[in-house]
Amino acid sequence: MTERIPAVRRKRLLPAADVPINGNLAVRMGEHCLLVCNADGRYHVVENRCSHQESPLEGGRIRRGHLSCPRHGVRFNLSTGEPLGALTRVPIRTYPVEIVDGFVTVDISDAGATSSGG
Amino acid sequence: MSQAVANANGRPEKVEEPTLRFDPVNARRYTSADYFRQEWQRMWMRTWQIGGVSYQATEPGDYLVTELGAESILLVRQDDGSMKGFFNVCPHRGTRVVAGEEGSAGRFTCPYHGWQFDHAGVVVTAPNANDFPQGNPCGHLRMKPVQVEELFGFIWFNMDLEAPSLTECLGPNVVEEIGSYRMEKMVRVLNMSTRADSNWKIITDNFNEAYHVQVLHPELIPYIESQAEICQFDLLRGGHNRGWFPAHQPSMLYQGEAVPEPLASMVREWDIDPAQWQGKDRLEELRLEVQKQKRRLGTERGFAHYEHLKDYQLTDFIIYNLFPNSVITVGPDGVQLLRPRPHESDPQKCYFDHWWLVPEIAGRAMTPSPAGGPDLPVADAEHEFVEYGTKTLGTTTDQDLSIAAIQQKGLASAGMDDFYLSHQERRVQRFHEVLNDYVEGTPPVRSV
Repeated sequence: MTERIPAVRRKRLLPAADVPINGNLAVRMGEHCLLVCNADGRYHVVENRCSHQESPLEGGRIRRGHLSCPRHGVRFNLSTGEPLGALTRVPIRTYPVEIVDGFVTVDISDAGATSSGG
Repeated sequence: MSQAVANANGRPEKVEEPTLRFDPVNARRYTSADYFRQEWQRMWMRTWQIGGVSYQATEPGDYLVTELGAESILLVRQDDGSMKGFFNVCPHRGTRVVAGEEGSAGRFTCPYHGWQFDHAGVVVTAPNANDFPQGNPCGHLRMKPVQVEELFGFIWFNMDLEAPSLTECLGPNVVEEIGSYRMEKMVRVLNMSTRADSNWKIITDNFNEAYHVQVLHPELIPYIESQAEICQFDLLRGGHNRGWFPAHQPSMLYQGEAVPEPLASMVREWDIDPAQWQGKDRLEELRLEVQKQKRRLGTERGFAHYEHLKDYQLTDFIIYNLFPNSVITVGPDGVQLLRPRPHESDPQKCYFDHWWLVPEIAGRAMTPSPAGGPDLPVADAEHEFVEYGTKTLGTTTDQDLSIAAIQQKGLASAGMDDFYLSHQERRVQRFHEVLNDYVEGTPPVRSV
């Protein structure tokens, strides 16, 4: 979700325009495997790993703010990380996002971690 | 087969109705587990069902999953643009292959042993594929197919591969009339489901008669007619039926002289001054004036879909009860699906779906909600499951569901004999006779 991130914790990922509408791109930042998602013009960054069987989520279809895992079809709410369906109840981690000068920036620090993330 | 009884622009064409047999209708079919199983095997497994909206799956590999009773059906867009459907079951050991309601996949992968299927449902890879004494499953085992067709912007399926085509089952009248609303160009702005404490047929029966409206839905009296003297009900071949409800005029039950709300606000939108339409005689002509104004102003105001509609369709509501459970209510500015679905195991429970689809009108980002509450954005809605009682499913739907549970209880009583139905409830009678035909093994084959 787009919000204000303290400048000291802001990490620049890529130009927002590189991610097409309802597309996504995987980015690695240190130990963090991230997926930058554009859901109808809203940017989200989530961990690029399904909480069901740990497949990468890259390439999953985005509709109405939800990302479908391309492997078994678990759908995740990109705002909260919460899954739908029967395969898993474990949410994926979501990261605070801010668009700065046309770039997608994130807070990957523990301070920015969602309480449900993991 | 059919004869016109009035100006074709004034109301739907009256058709010759099938003769009723007056089979007794009793409570067993609402409560018995044996009947529930028979009904499943002989009727549900053989009839056409709506699986989803076509635009949910536009690209090759896009899929959606729909539930009916204990079954899960996987519907997949093919590389050539057509749709195919399968029982969502791995032929290896029965695991559901796809978990989500919709998505996109190059291949489908069973989460248990990792068998992979192509878009046609055929196994393409399996770990240790040569370890099977019966032979390598790749290339010949598959998810079992169902019939699939697209019509009215919906994806339909039928678990019976031998069943007549959907258009054959619906018949030309239904196909043409519902088709005139151009639902394939609409967007589903409401997509709600709930669980109800009744057999699915209690909800279907409710949509098959309007006798209850004056009692249960008095809020409709100011702008919709539901009295049988004026409305038109038609039994159609194949077990379907149609009910025509003239609207944009008060019901004959309305006692006042002035144009009541919400009708007054509705006609003001079309530059009609309600003050000029006072008195019984004038009120009866108001509906025609609305039709005239919509015809005159509709196109310039962005209501492009009006050009495909007949005059009566510009004001009136028509309910199409498509056997067994697809209830499509069309109005001038949107279409509802009101649909009970059987429970997976309990004859005394069911699910209920409420969809609302509207045409996109230039400059209008919001649309009134048939579920009450604030206007809805004109945008594809996420599916929402609502526990009945925690949130409204719509005023009239809430009223109907409030009855369903107490009727179910009464039907389980030793004090209940056969139904005692009025002539205006003959669509209920006909529905049960066609259901009997299915359960007894003689389903109707052709429609008119």
